[in-house]
Amino acid sequence: MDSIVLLGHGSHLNPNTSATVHAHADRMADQAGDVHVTAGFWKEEPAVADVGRTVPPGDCYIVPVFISEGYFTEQVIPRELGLGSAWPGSWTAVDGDIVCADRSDGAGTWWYCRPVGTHESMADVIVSRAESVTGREDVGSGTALAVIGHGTERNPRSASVIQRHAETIRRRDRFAEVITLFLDESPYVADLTDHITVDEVVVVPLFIANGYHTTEDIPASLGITADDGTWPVPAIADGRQVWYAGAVGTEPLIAEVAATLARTAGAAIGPIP
Amino acid sequence: MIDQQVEALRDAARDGIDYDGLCVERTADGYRVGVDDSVEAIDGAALPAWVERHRQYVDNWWFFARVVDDERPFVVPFLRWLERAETTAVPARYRELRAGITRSWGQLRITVTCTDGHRRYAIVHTADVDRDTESLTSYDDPAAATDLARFDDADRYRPLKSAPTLRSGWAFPALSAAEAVEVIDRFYPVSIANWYAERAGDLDVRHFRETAARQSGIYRVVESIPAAGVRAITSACCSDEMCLKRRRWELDGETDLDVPAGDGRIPCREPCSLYLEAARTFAPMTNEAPPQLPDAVRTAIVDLCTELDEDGPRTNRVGAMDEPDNPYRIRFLRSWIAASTRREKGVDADSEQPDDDH
Ligand code: SF4
Repeated sequence: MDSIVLLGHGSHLNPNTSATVHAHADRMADQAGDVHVTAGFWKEEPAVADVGRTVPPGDCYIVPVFISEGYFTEQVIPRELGLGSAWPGSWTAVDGDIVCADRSDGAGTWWYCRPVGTHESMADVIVSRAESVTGREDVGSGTALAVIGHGTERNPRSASVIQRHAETIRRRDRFAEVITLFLDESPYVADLTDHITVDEVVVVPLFIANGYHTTEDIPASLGITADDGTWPVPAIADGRQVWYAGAVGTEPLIAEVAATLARTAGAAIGPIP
Repeated sequence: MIDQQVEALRDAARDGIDYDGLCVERTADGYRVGVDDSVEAIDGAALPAWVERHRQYVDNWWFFARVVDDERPFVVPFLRWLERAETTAVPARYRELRAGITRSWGQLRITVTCTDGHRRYAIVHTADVDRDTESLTSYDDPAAATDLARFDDADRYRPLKSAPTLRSGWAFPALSAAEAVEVIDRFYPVSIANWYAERAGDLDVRHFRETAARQSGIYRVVESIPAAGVRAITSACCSDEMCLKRRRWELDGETDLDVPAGDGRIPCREPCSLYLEAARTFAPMTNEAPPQLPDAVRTAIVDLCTELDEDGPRTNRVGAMDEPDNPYRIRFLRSWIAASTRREKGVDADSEQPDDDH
């Protein structure tokens, strides 16, 4: 029997981190027919190291719910699955970006997909987020789009994922401007209004779940935090209208991105509405 | 349903059935059938009437062998355990199932009932067993269990699902077997699989040193914690007041930690993520031997920590080990300070100081 496991980071402090992943897994399970769908976490239960034993024997499609490839997807997850932390180590490359390995429990095959954040369709998810936060299906003309990433010198790939999605959206000529900003590298989030020329901007952080960065750090850097710690939507900053969308990872469409990755690797799961 | 059962029985009889006292075997001119060793030979046409006379035996087989359709090896053994199938014969069990057979699992009470051949599973919090079901909020979607498990009664986030802080006031009054397994696995992830592995004698226990050795990044530091530190962290995190799992791992394959493992039914096979978080946070404090304090000072600190611990968490962030009023931190400090007493008594095998130091 096929199974799909969504793997997330989880948190000892922030309930939203795993709740987001569970919500996507539940959305997928509703459409999965005979495919067993479950979630696992690095910092919560079921632990990555244990999740394999809760799924049926057979092909198991593992989809990391992370923004980019890096330390977690290439070291921690393989190691916790029992395959060692060398990358690609015992994983064999199949078509495209899919790698597979014998399950360390001997019960079948692990098909390891790319993290959801790296999939091309994330560009659509970002745009969909911009539509839902503004309530305008045609949002774009006269409006800038700012995609925000963590950015980190330790893992340059996290910034390049953001740039790639921004470039995809830019080529569609839908928004007046598409820019990328980062928390810990230049161009910085706090300088948003220096980088746009129009009066209205939609800000979409490419984060998996809402937490400190998306609910405190970014709104404060944007200068839109109200006294009670929330922010108005839209807010006004530096004379510009700012639609701040919160973590894109909570967008229901993410379940379809995860399903697409699993489907491409061979899982029999239909489209997620 | 009886037609389906007869059909399934005919089908399975080719390989022979021997299940909880029910025996059915295909023969050249019919079937050899029996319950509890009273075997008879009947012809094929008589099978439906025979099934009718032995409904409970057939139903019992039908349920576990056909209705429960799950390839995961732990599911059927667990469902059988829930109704004490290994120790109660079919007629007595079916009698008991009319009123319901109840088992506990962590802070869950699970009651199986079977009327008209339909098993139903009701799950409530152990604290709610005597409450009227009407006063509890009822759920039928297993996914609700994940949300219920997220916060305690005081709305504090629960980073450890096996902490004895499951919120009460809810009920899953009528679940199917598959739904019950899912609900239990959402409240206590992987608990059934690990329980089953332990029962089968192949739980893959990873001792502290093994788990520590494979850590990387911010968790690498746990590798260097001395045995006395591991002991203090373990008694802070893993005792029944903090976690309902029963710790199966020790310091390493040879050295026991000499800390109570807990009485829970659910085995813990390796230090969990929250434990590693505690370990990495407290590691710097364990680099030196426990402080030698004057008796009165030590007793005062230990008493203070005990009182703070008994008051319950004063913070909403039970996973924030670095905050001064964190419950794990308070418990760790108590164990660590108290460890100096152990050393004086010569209990601490790691102590570099001679036992007659004072
Ligand atoms: S390591 Fe300790 S706290 Fe963590 S699950 Fe096991 S027994 Fe519980």
